[in-house]
Amino acid sequence: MNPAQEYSALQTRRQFFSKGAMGLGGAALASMLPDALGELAHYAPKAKRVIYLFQSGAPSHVELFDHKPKLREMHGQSMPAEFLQGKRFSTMTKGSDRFVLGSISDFKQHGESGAYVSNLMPHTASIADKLCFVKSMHTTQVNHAPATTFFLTGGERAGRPSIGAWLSYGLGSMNDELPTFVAMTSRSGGDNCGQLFYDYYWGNGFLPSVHQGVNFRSGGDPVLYMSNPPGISQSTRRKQLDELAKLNQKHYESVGDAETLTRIAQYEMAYRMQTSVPELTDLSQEPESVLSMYGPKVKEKGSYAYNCLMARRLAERGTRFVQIMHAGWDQHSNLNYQLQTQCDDTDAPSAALIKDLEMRGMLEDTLVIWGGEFGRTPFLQGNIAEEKRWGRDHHPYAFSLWMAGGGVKPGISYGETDEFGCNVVKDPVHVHDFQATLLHLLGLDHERLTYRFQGRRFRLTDVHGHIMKDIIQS
Amino acid sequence: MLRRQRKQFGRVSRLVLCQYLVLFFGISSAVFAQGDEPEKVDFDRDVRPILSEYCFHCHGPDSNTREAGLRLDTEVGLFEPRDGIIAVVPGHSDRSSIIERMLAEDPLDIMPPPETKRKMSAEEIEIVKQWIDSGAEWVEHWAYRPMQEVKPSSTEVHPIDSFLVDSLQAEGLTLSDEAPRSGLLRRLSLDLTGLPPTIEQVEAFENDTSPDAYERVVDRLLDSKHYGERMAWNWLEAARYADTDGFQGDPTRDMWPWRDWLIGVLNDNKPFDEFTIELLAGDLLPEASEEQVLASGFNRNHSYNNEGGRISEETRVENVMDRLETTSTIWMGLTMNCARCHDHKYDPISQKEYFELYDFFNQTSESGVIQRGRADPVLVYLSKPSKKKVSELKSQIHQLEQTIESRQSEFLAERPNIREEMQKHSVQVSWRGLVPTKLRAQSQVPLVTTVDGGFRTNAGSLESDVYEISSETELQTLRSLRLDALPFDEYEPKGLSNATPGRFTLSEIEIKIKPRGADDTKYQSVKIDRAEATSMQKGLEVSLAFDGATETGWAIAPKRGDEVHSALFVFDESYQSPSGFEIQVDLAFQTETNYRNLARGRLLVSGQEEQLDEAQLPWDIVNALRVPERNRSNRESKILKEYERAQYFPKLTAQLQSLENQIASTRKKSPHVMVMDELPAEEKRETKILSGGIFNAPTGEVIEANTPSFLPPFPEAESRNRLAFAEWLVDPEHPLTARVTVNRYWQLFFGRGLVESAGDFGSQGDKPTHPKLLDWLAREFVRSGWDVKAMHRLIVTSKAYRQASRVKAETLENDPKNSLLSYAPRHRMPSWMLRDQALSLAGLLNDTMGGKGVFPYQPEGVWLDATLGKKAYKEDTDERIYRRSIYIFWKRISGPTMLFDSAKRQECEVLPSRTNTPLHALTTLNEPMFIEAARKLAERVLALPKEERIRYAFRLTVSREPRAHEISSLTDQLDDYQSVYEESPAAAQELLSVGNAPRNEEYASSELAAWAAVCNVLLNLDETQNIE
Repeated sequence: MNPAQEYSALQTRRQFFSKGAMGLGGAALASMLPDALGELAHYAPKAKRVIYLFQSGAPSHVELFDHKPKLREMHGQSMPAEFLQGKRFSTMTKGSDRFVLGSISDFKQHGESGAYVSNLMPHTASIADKLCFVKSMHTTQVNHAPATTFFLTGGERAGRPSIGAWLSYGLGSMNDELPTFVAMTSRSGGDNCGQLFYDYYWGNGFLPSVHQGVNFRSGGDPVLYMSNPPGISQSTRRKQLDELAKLNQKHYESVGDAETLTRIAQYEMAYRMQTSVPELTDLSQEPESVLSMYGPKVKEKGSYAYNCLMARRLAERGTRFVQIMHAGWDQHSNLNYQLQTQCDDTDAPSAALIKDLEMRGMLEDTLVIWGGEFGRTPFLQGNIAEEKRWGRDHHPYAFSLWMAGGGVKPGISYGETDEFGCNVVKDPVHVHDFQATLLHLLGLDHERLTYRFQGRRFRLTDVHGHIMKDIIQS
Repeated sequence: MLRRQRKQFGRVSRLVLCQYLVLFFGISSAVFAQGDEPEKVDFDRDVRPILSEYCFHCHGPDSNTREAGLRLDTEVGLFEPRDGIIAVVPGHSDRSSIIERMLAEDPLDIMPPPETKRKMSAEEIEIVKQWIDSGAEWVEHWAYRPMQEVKPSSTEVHPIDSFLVDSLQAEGLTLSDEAPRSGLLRRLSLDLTGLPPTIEQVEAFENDTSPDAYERVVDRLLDSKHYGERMAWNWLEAARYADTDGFQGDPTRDMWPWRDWLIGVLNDNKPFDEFTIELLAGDLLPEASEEQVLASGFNRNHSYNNEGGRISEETRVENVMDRLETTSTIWMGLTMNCARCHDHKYDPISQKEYFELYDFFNQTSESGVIQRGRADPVLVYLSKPSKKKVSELKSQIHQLEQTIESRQSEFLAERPNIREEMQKHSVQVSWRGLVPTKLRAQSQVPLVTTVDGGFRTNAGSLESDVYEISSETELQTLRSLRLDALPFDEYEPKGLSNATPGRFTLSEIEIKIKPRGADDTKYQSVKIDRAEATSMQKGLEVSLAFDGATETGWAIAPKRGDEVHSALFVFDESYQSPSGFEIQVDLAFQTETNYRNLARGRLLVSGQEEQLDEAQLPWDIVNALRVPERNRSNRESKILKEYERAQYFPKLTAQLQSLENQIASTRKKSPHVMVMDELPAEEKRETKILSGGIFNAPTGEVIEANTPSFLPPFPEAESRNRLAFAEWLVDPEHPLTARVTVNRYWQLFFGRGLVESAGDFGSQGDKPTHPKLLDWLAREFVRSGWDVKAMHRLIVTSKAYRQASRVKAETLENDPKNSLLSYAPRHRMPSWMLRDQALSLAGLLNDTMGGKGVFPYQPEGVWLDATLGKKAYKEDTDERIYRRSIYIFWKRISGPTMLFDSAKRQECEVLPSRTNTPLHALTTLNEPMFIEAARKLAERVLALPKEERIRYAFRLTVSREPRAHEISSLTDQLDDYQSVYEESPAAAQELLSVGNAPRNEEYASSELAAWAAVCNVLLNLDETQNIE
């Protein structure tokens, strides 16, 4: 049995033997939730929760955080062959000559740390001292869906639990009114290549589906079927649930299946969710100063800015893992204008989230991650003469992401790439290393957080993963 | 008792070990200390799981990670001395190195080593010790041994009960009494058909006092057409069935005829061995019927990645692996996927054996490219009316052909010289065909020689590619070369490539020649002086095919590529060689954006400076004419005849063409179901081990299809293909197929298999709770001729199935998981069944069978969110929304929203998921169909006299009579809601307007709304949601 199953089995036995002692909905509910954190963690956690700002489509590291003057020096010349030998790229640039493309954005150093940040991201640049830039990420996948699946589940095919599901399984819930794991999606203005969001990106894989991420929707009910049906008022619903609990309780007494008690509790939790979600999404109490930090789209449901604010509100209320996925970074042939659009949409909200968390004293135990599924080629995709259609292809061999809060050292850069941003030359971080580090910050040993499925103990990190010790605060 | 505790032991998590051990010690002391004879430690049941858990990872089947060469998963490894050390000395744990290492205190010596973060408990070591001291008897893993020949211990009772009672007695437990008839019928109806019984059926059964009343009900339900719909669910989940491909774009595919086939054969009770053979190899059966080919679509239900930039071979390999792993899980309970990248860590499956099995599935013509939900091979599936239409058209064609035939014979008889004249014309042509001697595509897609001396790819690839074609000619002078692009009939529509439309772009042509027989260093490049083409696009002229740049090239004009096109290349000079030439031609398809690779073509050379002559005879006619009449192949005679026919009888030919077009258009509009086929022997793919399971890392020798060595040998005489493999699977002595299958049936009816890990019968899987029963059932299944309904009947007629589900306190003490079945299990029905049940109770169910997927209510924006605004969900507006859930359109990237806890249809799933979350409560409380069902259920209730209503509503919902407290709760609620809705008529109107079904205006809205609210509660009762 896994910890959660074991826990629930013990609960079940306890409930049965104290038959009749359990009251209706609310009372049953009170004993349902493991007070998980600390009890089940492997060692003292630095972070209690995670907000993952997943930049889907793969942002160009050489335009944003990994400053490579060499690219401009060599602009239009062929990439030296030794950098490309034996590498696999997407079929979109196969067979063509590879011309170096100078970074289309300017870089400046910022803050005391002197981190290089692109001029396209002024807000992120302003908080550079709070961030830890990892510039030596690399992955094994070269197409979007497998690479994203790899980042979020540790395997390249659908079927494994996502990070949030693992955390829900390993650490349990901190809140009985809101989901433990929430996913939200948005896409940029402008055109984009249409990287879809599959529900297994926040799936439970082979873990029980209670650990599945709940997808908060931008239109209609944020949670499916959350509103009472038309014509059923909250007081009628209360009466219905009270009677339902009474009838179920009696039935339990005659049949004796403890699952019935769980069901009573789940119905009660559903009711509470019905009241707490509207409160969650009610922004009327947010001060103007906070709203304005997130930028003009903050009140626009389904925008990245709105989702970032919602992430903070969820985190405040005890949601353990918020996964925001923002599409539009896949710039094969529109780097020159789409990158700007992407940055405009995401820069202020990402930075605002960090500042907002810090103001509330939450940054220290909230881990925030910003990053995509791979990087982009230092060389051009397209015709060098046709500036409007410049782009970069998929590049799994080196890319950047940043982390903040949650026990990560602020104001540092970790790892280095070569002069083209093509290969990692120092402190390589594989996706499984990143995942191991994330779990570690949450107090979980990635080698011990396992689940038995099809005869094998599965882990988020498969059989790999090394913790990036150098980025963790002591 | 020992058995149960060991079993749980294997699964206990370290995190809760302390809690667990309290329980364990309490019981283990009873095992070892109490009673006259302590139960003997059994290797298979007690010891192997411990070794598997702690040792096999480094000392098991995987030869690459095996430490110190020591292997503990085999008899030899355990008992043979190695360098004077013996792992296990029977009878002497003190001399067995395995115990010494387990007990070692030095971190350098202790096993498992500290870095594995695994630690054996004292109890586990004790078990191994006891086993050694009692003689260390070793046996093969239970599931790989032949099924035991066992007999029930008593003939007085149902054989199943006889086995169960034996184990129950050992624990001081008994079976429970039979469930009340109402509940029993409800359980049986839901289990066998997925629908609840009607009140009339319940009453009839309650009142039927005949001794075979129950058996007759079982037969009625087994004969119901809803049986197949219910049983198909588990197959769809295992077969990862969906109506779309998944991944980017998630296009719709036409697999529903396969789903309908499945439901049909389950209803017809096709024997499981035939069923297996048709699913896995229906296409390979002699004279395979259309239905049998359709059945093979099972192996095409996997998702399909067609993301931009995706390498097609990577997708193809992924699909082959998916087939192999799905098949292994379903039929053998083997976790083959563990052996993809390396030898299996726990079960005796090497990576080589994985690829030997892979080879069976690797011989399909599928290319790895899919377009609009369709990837060859496909079966055009004609509906009954279409079939009729096509057969009528065919008979008309037949008649017309006969007419033409006779007119043509007369015509030729009158003009005996006509062919000679044609031939004369053709022999003046100095072209000679170049028959390839060697063909290679750099992308590795198969490239083969065609019967007419050309070349073709096996299905067309859309990747950057270069075809390398070697050939010879006797011509002593070379001046011109011609490339004919020929339409490829296997595409729909017919085209020159697999792109849409069927055009190709030749980026470069390179020609090298040498005198025949000269060594390879003599090859010289031929310089092309000028070129012509039958068609070209602006900016894509034929001259760009030899400009040295791969980004540019020659393409034909943007009309459909369904006709022959040619390019002529004239060399700068006449090349001479008295011995003739060897010629190498490289055709490159490497333009930047869209790779459009020629699918079929032919090369010709000439010693003269040629011109392209539009008027001349088509090349295949020229070739056919060149062959003397007596030597002409059937194909050559046929094309010649057809050519003449078109020349001399244009009207009749046009008529014929129109009939043929009608057939083609009917076929085009019909579903194209993806199915399996087998490459002809000469095109067979070479299978090699893929290092790390990576598609482009083949290593080692070419592998021949074979089955793993620990299973029965693959018959030598057979051809080694999927058909032989499927037959091997259903060999009566196969130790896994029957066991795994009856175990899933057991799971279906008891909620949990006799082997709980239904998808893993390997050494890390669960042990059977009742090994003898499992084997007896498996043998019985085979003996019955693999009769599925008979097996279902056998299970549901047992006392164990029929007993009451009330939990027994004494069972919780001794058998907390109720593995021994001292009462009937109780479980929440799957979400699809909840929906079907609600529709049925409401009288809304539309029980039409088969056809395309349907679109019931779904909240707005779910598909839009999932597709970045590209695809909106469109609800059906007619009766289709009330069809059974099995017919709901399943979009792979976003499954039906009301079907919570379902298999995800991404990969094979054989275990039910039954979680209990607030989101599920929200669905059954609020989803519009459930609200509409509550309203229509209310109308059914209101049709009765007032005093009968509550009883009727209750009985309808859960089949039994209500108890006093239930009547009073419902009465109280009714009054309460009624006053709410009387006060607020608008609220009543709102509630009554949910759903498309018109409301019955006879009933006052406050009353109907109040009843709808009551029925909403009834549909959410724990009892309503459970099969109990």
